[in-house]
Amino acid sequence: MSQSQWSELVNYFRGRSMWMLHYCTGCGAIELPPVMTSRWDMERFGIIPMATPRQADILLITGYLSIKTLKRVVYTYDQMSTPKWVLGFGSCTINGGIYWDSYNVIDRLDKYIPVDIYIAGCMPRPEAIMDSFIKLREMVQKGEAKGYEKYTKNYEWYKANQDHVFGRSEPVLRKAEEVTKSA
Amino acid sequence: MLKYVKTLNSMGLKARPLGDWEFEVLTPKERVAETLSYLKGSGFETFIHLMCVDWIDDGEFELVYNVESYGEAIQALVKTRIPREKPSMMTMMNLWGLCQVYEREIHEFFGIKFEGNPNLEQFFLENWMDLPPLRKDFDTKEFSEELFGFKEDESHGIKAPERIEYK
Repeated sequence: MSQSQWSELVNYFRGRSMWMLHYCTGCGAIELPPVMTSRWDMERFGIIPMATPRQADILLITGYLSIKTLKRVVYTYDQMSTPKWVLGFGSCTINGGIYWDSYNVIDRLDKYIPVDIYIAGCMPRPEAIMDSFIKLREMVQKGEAKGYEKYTKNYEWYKANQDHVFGRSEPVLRKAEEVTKSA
Repeated sequence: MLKYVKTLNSMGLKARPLGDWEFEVLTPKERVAETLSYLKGSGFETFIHLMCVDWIDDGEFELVYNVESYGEAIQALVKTRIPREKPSMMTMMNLWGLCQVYEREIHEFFGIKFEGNPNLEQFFLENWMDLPPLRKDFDTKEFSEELFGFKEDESHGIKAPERIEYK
């Protein structure tokens, strides 16, 4: 059996058994119970919710991320073992959604961790989530979902973006006279 | 409810009913503790909420203490105004220990110093160095553009929603 045939076979089985860690930060979490339970039943595709990041293959981010939660998401993502895939759920992960001008909600998840599939909508229906699972399975089986490799390869860029948000050492808006904290 | 309004008016405070189950009291900063302890003694034993309103044109912050009497099912709003420059207020922790967290939150988001409150460290935000974010002179859009790098050309041709400017 050649190398490519072997990886094809591995990819086939990977796509059939994906365990999911759902990071329910936003309002989109409410769409997940019907997806998990008998109405849409994601288990027929071999996807089950998983308790810890180390056992999970998919990281599903449901909605907006504040700076504080983004930090935890990055920790979680770093703890997952490869191969791992990220699904960005809802318009908040795409461009901030209705929180596009908020002071503590990030605008693009893709700048901090690599996202394999975005599910557009505010909020997406369970059908859209199922659709993204099937799409992800196809991509995995074809060997196209390579977000984790992108992350390793461009780690400096992702790390710089993360540090830009987490490691602030001075005020963001440089209006020295305004930024004197009156307290 | 009217008896409380009448008593508070006779104490030299401005009180008026706002509806069937709610009344407001306007007090100067020094008399907030007195008003609240009177209300607590007459049945308003539950502290519900502490709010802050930024009246930037008047140069004032308004603090609103919300207390409720479960026995009579009525609520009272005790309102006081403090200057916006170097804002400070005395803590109400000796009336309700619960005030500690509310005051900490108000300090974080408006920068009001509560004298006597032992812990006014950051609560929800992490590593915050700018103006307190809920003050009206804090520009959230500019902050978001600067820190998160939102650009309208990233919106894939969809125009960003109209922003309601405060003025």
